[in-house]
Amino acid sequence: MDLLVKLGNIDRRVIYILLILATLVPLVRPIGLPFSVSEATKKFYAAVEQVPAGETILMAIDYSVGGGPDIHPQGQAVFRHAMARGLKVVFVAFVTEGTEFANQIIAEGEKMAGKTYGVDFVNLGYVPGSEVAISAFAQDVLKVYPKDVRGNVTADLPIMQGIATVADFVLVTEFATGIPGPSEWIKQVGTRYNVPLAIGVVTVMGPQTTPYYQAGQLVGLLSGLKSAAEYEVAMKAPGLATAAMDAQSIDHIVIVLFIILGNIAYFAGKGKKGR
Amino acid sequence: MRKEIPLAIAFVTGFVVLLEYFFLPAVPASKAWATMLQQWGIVVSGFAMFVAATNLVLVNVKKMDPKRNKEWYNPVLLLVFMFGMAFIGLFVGERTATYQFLFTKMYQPLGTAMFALMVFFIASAAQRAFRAKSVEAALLLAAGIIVMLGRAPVGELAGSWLPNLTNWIMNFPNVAGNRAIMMGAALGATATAFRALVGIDRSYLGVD
Repeated sequence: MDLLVKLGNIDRRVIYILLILATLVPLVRPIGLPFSVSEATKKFYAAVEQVPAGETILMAIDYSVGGGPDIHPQGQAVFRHAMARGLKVVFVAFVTEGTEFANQIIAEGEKMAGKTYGVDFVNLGYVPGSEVAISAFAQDVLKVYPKDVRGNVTADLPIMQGIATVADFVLVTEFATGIPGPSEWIKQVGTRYNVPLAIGVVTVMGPQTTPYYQAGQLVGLLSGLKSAAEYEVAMKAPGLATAAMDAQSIDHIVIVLFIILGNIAYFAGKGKKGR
Repeated sequence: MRKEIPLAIAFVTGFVVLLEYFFLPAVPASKAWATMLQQWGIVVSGFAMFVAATNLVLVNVKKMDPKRNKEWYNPVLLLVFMFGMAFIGLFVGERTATYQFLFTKMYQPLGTAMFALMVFFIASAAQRAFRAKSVEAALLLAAGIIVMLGRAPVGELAGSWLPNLTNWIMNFPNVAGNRAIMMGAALGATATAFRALVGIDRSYLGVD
């Protein structure tokens, strides 16, 4: 009984070391656990798949560096899908770091054969003002973004021809770690302009974003690294997110085991006191 | 007049933006007014960032005195990196190797590491505090364990029942709870916004 009670007071350094091992070992020696693609991810994928080749979609990169590893693979996967389908992608950001993350995604696009900056994709950069800026952008894209991040006049870029308001994008996607996020984009873009809106969020925002998806206000929803991995599987192009799934699984098991051990120790201690 | 003018500005701004949002077909001219106000909002937000940076400098300069602050080097480091990053971004260029090194090799890994450290604290805290002390706590514990396992690929090894149960928790109890919170918060926000619009709530002016 004493041993069970002691389980409740395991040195936290033991927990830390086990978590490090649970993360590193599957990354070095992948197990390859299979997983299915969720309905929300399938619908996001289908929304991109249904856009006719040659049309332009919007990708708003509204995430910070903290949540980057959880959500950046989503942006990369959706961009790769769009490029593979021959779509054009306009990047914007209403979070300061978003511009750099968009640059990182675009750097991958510039290595793709036959893809050119300004023709197939463009990064319009960051604008302060959060929800107000999103609303102004939705009403008049060129007024809010007279130039892109490279100093080009936006109106002169081939990709921007025919784009005046947010309604001119066939599909709007947003990736968020906080504010601005789903709520702001639904209020200012999805509802007002009746444009299909698909959103990717970090794992912790998934539960609070699900009501919007269920209500039909979002045509697709990606939630965290797991959804990025599912998207890669849907594309039949496994990448970094898929590789990280084993580590996430083992981490979850370790945390759950410690929670169970803590509860066993709690009830063992309670029984001892009762006697 | 020190109170009346800001109140009038807030009322007119809020009224015009609401007019454009809800009654655009009835008042087409409101679109041009609202667009202009939103453009001003972007400019004001830009200035707000400048004010925030100035405030950060003023607060940290005070903390740089070694006699008063044993960790005086922390504000020094903060200001050196803040001005260094701003200088390189503005005068050397965002697309240069120096800026990219600072962002991708320093800022990005440091920010990511801070976020990743949470897993250790969460695991340690969960082991010590996540106890089934009551029926409600037991339900929360069970739901947490089911969702943690069901949302990871390992959950699918147990069969389809675990992912299905996870989806049910996420799609019904979770959505019902979140929807109730969102509706309550929205009603509260509407009431607060109305109070600010008509000048009942003046806390944004620094007045009770």
